[in-house]
Amino acid sequence: MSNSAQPVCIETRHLKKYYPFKNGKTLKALDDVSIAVTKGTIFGIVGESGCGKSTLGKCMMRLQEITEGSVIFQGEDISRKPPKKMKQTLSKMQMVFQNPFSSFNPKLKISYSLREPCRINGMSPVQTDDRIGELLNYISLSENELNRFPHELSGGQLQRLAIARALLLSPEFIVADEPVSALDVSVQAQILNVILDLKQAYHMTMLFISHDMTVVEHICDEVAVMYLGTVVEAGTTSVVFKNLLHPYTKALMSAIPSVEAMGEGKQRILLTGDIPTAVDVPEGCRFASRCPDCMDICKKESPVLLTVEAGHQVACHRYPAGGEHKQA
Amino acid sequence: MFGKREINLSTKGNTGTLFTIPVIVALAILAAIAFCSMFAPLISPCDPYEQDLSVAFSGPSAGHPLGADSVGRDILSRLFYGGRTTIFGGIAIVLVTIAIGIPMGLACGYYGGKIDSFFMRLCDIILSFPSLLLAFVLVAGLGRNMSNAILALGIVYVPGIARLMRSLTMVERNKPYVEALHSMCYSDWRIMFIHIVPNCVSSVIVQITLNLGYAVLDLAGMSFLGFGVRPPTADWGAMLNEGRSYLMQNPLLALLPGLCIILLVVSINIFSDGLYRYLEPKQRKLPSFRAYERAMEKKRKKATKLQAEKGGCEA
Amino acid sequence: MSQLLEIKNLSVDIMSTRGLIHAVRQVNLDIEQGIIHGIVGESGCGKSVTAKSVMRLHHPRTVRIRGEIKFNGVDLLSLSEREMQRIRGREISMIFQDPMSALNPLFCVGDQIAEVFMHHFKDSRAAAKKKALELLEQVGIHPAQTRYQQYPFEFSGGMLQRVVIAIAVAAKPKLIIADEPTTALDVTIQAQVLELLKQLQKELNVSIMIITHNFGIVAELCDHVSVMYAGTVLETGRKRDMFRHAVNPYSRALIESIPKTGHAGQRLTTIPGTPPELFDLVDGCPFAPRCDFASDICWREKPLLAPCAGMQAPQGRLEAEGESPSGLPEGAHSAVEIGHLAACHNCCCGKEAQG
Repeated sequence: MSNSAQPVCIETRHLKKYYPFKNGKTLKALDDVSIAVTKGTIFGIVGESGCGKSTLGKCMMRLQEITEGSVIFQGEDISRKPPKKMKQTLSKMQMVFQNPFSSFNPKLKISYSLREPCRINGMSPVQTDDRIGELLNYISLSENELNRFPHELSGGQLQRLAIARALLLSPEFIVADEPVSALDVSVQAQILNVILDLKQAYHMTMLFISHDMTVVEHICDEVAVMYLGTVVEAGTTSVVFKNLLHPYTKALMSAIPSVEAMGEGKQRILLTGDIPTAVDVPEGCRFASRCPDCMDICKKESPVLLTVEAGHQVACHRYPAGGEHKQA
Repeated sequence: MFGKREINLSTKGNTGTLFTIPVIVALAILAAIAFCSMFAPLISPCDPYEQDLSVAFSGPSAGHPLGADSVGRDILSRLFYGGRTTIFGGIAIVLVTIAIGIPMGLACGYYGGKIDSFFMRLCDIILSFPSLLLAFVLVAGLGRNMSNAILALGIVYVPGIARLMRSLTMVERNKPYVEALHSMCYSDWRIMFIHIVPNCVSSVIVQITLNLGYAVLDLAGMSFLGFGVRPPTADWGAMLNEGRSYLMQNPLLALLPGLCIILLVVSINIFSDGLYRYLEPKQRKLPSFRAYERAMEKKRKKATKLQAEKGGCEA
Repeated sequence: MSQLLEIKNLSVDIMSTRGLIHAVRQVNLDIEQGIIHGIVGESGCGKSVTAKSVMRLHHPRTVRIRGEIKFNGVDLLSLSEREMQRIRGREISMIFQDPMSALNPLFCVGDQIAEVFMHHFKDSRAAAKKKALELLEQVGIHPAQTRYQQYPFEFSGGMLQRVVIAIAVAAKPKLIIADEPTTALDVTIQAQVLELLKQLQKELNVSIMIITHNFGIVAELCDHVSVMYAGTVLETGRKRDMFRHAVNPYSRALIESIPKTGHAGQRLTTIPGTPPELFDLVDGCPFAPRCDFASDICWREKPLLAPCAGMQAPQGRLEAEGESPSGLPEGAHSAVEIGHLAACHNCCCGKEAQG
């Protein structure tokens, strides 16, 4: 997927994560996911609940064990690394969580929560103060806020601090798991601005997990759309969003109530039925049961991710590699 | 930041008060008991071990303000000294419980898996015996003296604290901030003791104060049955035991130590209840609108009065 | 069109352990017959509290409601609890955010719908069941016969929300209050539920008051919109006017802060500062501390909702530059229709109301 000159920061190869149940069934949370995050870019993962997007983030950080496949971080396969050695690698990865209110120890002042990790990781007090001051600048907060307890700050302020904390140790890679979903629109805008500023300033690499297509389109350089543990469409954001191909992506996009259209003159693709669970998925394409233009082959063979144009991959039988759109 | 406000009517940041009337009364009683025990040698009218058969079973008199017991020892002095043993014993039991229970619960909740199942089964075994009976068995095995009684009762209380600590730890462990600490190379030890423990303290403290009440009661019970304090050491439980035989001759002998135990335990419980309400704001009772308005009115009057005085001074 | 619900000078104070929260402050709101009225605002702006006050669901010991809530000309706040009981569910019904906790997990879904008919219309069990089956079909739960017998845990979130909607419309109420009905749902499911609400509204000609923080939902669904902030309504009017010519700086900023397609990577409009805590009553405009256009009067006096003849650019900008608002050309007023009310000192309407 990375066709740019920039080196790849982290990639997954045929990553699988299965949860076996006692009754013999398995939940395939991730099934053959291969993505590559280029250094200095924001990679968006979009999908609805239960599509495995959070699991993917956790597997990439090895916070969850991997069933099969590999995760390659800075050229090194970390998927089988023993936990003792993992600690070193882990400090180069950081996470931002959905709920800012529980992201900080409620009993400690913010300043302590920010300074302690620096001390533990061997930064001098002067370095620490410099680093914190620098980051505070970007998140437009003052020293004043540092001397407070988490419950005295608003969700937006806390989330900005959480992002700053993730950047404290100059990590190579950040996983942001729905960082704006719990926030109000105006606050969400603040956070998105902060992320864009920091990306510019620190050349930060981020996996941005979200269920919101518009947010992903706004800040991500590359995107992968997931459905039931598989990637259905991926590529460079500008290319993909110009020409959405997979029926699921199209439906997802058209389902978003948009301010511009104001509910008029927009043809909406309404999906029927619920999101199935990833337990014992049937043969064929996983989206077949809800797909508005399902073909015979879709129920037999699962499609693979194929490149249809430069920087755009789709896993759909209607779009064979580089080729023509098949009509039903 | 909100610009011009005449009078601030908010009670923002009001964290409620620990010192409600019942809590103040309880604290006063506890303070009195603590004072009497601490300064027992100074305020006791007699030596608590000095026997004087001539005054056996005598009622209150000038020499013996609360009378004397079966062998003529001064009851008041024995109560003062007995308080020392009882309170010291109670606190020692609770300390034993904390020292074993909290690390155990923390480890179980944090690591889970085999460590968890091993210690929790152990707790189940302890809990499956009646607590006093288990303490008797332990004391019988270890030898009958005060320190063994304390150790035994301490062990009996471990499951309660350990289980509480375990469930609190399990809740904290799954919060994002702990995950963030993990990803910043924190050692397990640091996460557990510097970050998780302080967040569990408020619930644990309440449980501990409650346990203190029970510990005092159980220690008295042990002494009463002859497993705890050895005679002639003064102890409220032991005194109650002795006094029981002479209920007909002088009921005060049993009544007074019993009363002391009740006062101590009830006061501790009231205090721990108040502490719980204080530490857990959700448990606090909300004021009625009328009460709130009255309080606000008072505040406002005070403020205007203060302002008037200030204005007067300046003029 | 006639007003179905008229809220006049509604103030709601909530007692909390940290003090008295003035959650709703002097709110005026009218909801017309047969339309969908959206109330939009950020968390803590008092939108849910207002909705709950209409249903009188607050606990009287900890919540004090003052003002008037007139429903079909009857003041709901003056009714006895018994009379109110007759209105709840029958005349006004409610849809909650979390369908999982809005239903009783121990009863099968169908019976919970049938209960409405048995309770409000004294129908027999068989008649109620028949009506409930029809209703299940109507809200798109197929096959109704088998789904009737199932329990809430056997349904997905989207399907359960359909059941909750079925219960809400069962008694053919005149007003449905939907408190964040799709916030807990996924986008594709949300689209289905919104479609259902729209369709039911047309079929039953009921008014819907929808509480949401999502401007997209307002844009899709609503006819009228009110924007709330810190317990006050800052602007109210038709959807089109609101999105094209919002007057109040807060509503404008809120609309502009939504990421739009085709502007990837650009900075979004943000509102500096944080919403105020609601412990203090303030004299001025609640938004003044965060407003770019705030002038002296904004700090001093609370702006009232007043008919707004229209505004193209925020007049505050002009005022900030030293020009008087009356200098605005008359033609600028024509863009917005009547019925658009705004509470802001920086547009002419606020001035008129006070002058």
